[in-house]
Amino acid sequence: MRNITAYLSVVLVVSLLLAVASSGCIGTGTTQEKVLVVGTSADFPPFEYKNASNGQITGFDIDLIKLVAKKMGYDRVEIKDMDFDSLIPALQAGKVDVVIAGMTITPEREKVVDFSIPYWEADQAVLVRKGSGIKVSSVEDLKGKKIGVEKGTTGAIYVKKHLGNSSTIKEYPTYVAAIEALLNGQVDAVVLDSPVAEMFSKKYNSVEIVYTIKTGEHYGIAVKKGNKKLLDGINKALKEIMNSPEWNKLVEKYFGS
Amino acid sequence: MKKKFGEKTVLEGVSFSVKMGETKVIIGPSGAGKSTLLRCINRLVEPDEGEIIFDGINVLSKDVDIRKIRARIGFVFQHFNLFKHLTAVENVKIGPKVVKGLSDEEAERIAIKALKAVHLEEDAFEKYPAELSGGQQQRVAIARALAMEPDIILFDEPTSALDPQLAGEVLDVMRELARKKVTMLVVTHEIGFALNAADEVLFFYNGRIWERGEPRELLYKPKREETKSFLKRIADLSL
Amino acid sequence: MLMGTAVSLNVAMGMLLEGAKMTVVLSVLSIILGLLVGLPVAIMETYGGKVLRYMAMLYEGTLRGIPLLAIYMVIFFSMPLLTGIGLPAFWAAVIGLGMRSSAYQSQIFRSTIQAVGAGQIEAAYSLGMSKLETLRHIVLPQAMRMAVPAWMNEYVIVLKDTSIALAIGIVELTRQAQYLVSITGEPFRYYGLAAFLYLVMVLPLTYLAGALAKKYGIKGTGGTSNVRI
Repeated sequence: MRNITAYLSVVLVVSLLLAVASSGCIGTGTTQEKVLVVGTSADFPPFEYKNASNGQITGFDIDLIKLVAKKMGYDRVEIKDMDFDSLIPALQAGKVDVVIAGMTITPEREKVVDFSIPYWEADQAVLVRKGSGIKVSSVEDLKGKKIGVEKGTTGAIYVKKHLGNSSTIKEYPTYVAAIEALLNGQVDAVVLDSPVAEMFSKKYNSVEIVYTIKTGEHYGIAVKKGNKKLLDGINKALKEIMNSPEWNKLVEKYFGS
Repeated sequence: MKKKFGEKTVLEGVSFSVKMGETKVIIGPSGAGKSTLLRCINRLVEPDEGEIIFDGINVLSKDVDIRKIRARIGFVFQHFNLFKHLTAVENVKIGPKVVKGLSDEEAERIAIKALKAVHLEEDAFEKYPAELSGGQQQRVAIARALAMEPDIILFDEPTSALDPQLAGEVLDVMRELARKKVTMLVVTHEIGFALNAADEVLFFYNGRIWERGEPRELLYKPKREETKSFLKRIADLSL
Repeated sequence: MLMGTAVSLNVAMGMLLEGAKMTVVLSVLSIILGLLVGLPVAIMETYGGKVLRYMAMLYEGTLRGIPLLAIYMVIFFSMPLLTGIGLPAFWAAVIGLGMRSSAYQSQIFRSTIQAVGAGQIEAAYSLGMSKLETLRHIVLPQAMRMAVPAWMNEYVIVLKDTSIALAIGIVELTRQAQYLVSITGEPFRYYGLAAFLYLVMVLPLTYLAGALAKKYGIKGTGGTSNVRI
């Protein structure tokens, strides 16, 4: 008798758990909706991260892919978050249609997936005040200058490594704070991601880009190898977006405040 | 009941019978094949050839359901082999319940009767084997066999693992069973038990019945040298 | 690139608890699947014929020899490519973790089944019990009780290994902590909180194991030893 009771309670617990679990996990309707399934790894702000206040995965990449999907005629996108290293297998296995995850285009990755045109060039631009007379034709020219960076960025890591002994490096919590310091004259130059620098140089007429440090870090959207139709659609949409005011709004939203 | 064996060197052609109500005792040096013989009877060990006739049924024939035979043959082991997760009562109940399909109440009634028959102290009924003395454990094991109301009980050196004092309480129970005409086949070194409880004693040697006879005859006036030297050794040990 | 955004403790705990819920659901389903598969495998290994025994040992050996991450990769990524049948990430995680655990659980049960002495089995046969009745009434009740400490230990391992399911997109406790770290830049604080939550999930099990051992242990045998987690 006790055996049967124990057995029944196990069965009960299992079925309850299955019910709880499935309610959250299986719910893909069979409507005619056109959905773009997007793989990302949401621990790389501001490109992709979890918004703590609403629990949504958001970021520059996420907004961008939503714009791309809309232009391509998709009804909505479905975001699948996973480990960065699992993104390419997921693409190959058909678990996701595209990957957007601040993924640098490299020859190794190009062997197994196809990349869109670069949508982000993480080259480091040197931004100075207009009329400051600072001329930069190599990194050496920044020696002895006061340089502002955003803490934790590629730019910050780069200048600390190459100019750490010869220049005064000031780290700021945001790009905006660094730009403000530049405008106030607290620093002579700011080193930051090119697309962000371009956005600021358009926003503030008083600053200009005088040099670009090539890091070769170009981010692309990945699709399954050989999926030319999808790739062409993405490239077309990307070009349209990058040439429209929407692009600057997007950069400003995530890098300009 | 007739049994014949032929199993390698352990049992080399053994033939004897046990009648209803009889107590037969097997003695002999270790390695003589006594335990193997008992295990062959209920086919815990498969004999190579020969036949075992139990109540007119050939135990070794292929169309015999050995479980039905085993249910009618009690077995008491040297090391008790009680079920460790069950109390004394549960140990005795489980056979009637699982094998005979009796109700819990009926099995309980039979179990208590069997435990009383082996004089188990009432406060030990609900104890687990590990909480009982060796003598108590072996008496529970005998009760477990009795509860199946078997036609015969096989005892495999039931007191060898016990201190003399504890062996005594087990032997008392066995003597009582013999008096009640329970059919028993007992492998033992307890010459005293053989003397006053057995109808016949078989001396096993080298896988054969070397000598057999009335207890007093065989134990006091053995005819063969091997029997004499074995009995002398036993006597030396117990003195 | 860290944002340095401040997140209130309430919001952070909300995220972490959501992750912990997934951790618990995933681990409980996996350990149960592991039990439902592992116990029969153990029985096959101890009671089965040559073929069954060999199959069970092959199953156990294979799954114990492959890292969990690789098992996930095969189930979630390779299977759809080979068979065209894809599983949702959650079920792939349950099956991967459950099957891996079944291999370890079969090892646990195999050893406790073997620990039930041959003498008791002979005694059961002598009463006229069948193999199956002996297994059910004599062997398994003892083997299961003896397995409690090792089984609890296995559950804790499963619980901790749920984080590997991140590879196939399961958002559990560790992942939620990663989210928080990436937006706040405070690894110490949030990984610390996550570690604390794991501890909160594990510690009661230690006591539970002790209580179970007391309640179901075989009296007087010390059959259920101390639990090490």
